[in-house]
Amino acid sequence: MADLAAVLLGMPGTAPIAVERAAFRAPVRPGEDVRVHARRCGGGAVEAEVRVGGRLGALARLRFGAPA
Amino acid sequence: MIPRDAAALLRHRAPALLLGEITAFDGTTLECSARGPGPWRWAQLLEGAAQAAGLLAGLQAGGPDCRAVIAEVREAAITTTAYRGPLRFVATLDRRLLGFWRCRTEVRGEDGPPLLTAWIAVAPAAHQEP
Repeated sequence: MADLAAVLLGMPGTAPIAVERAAFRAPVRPGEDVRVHARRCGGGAVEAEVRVGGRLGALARLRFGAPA
Repeated sequence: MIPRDAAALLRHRAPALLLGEITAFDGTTLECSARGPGPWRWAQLLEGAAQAAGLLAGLQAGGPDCRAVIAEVREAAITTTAYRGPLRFVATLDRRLLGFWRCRTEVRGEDGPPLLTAWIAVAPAAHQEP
């Protein structure tokens, strides 16, 4: 999720300065159909989620930028 | 008070296992060293903090076993994106709520402020869908 979020913000390879929230709802196992979605929220924040076989596996809100 | 059966409380094995040895444990706060000197990426700092939280929860009376999962991470502040050197993973039990064990975690280098801090909630495996 963090890698995709960084790409979405045009900063590939950059680490977030904060994981505001990440929740893990279902196991993510190799071999399953895993899709990662990310959406810009402004202010350097990105909301991302991982779907496994169509089910929500994890979601997170990440923040990028200079440390406070 | 160093528990002898701590390894059984984590399903991770090297190289996924990032914790080295338990260096302090008083029942509420657990401190562990890291396996090796790194280099460590920020995601490994967070993973190590999660392993420390999971181990601390497992050491509590009625705590989850090695099938425990991380249910939630909140307010993770990442001040270092990469680090080389010895680490200390520190987890302190904050509260138990509805089967979740919430811990305050810190990852520290040899000196200076924490490299990462986060609230991490540990849950028994039944929390997640199969």
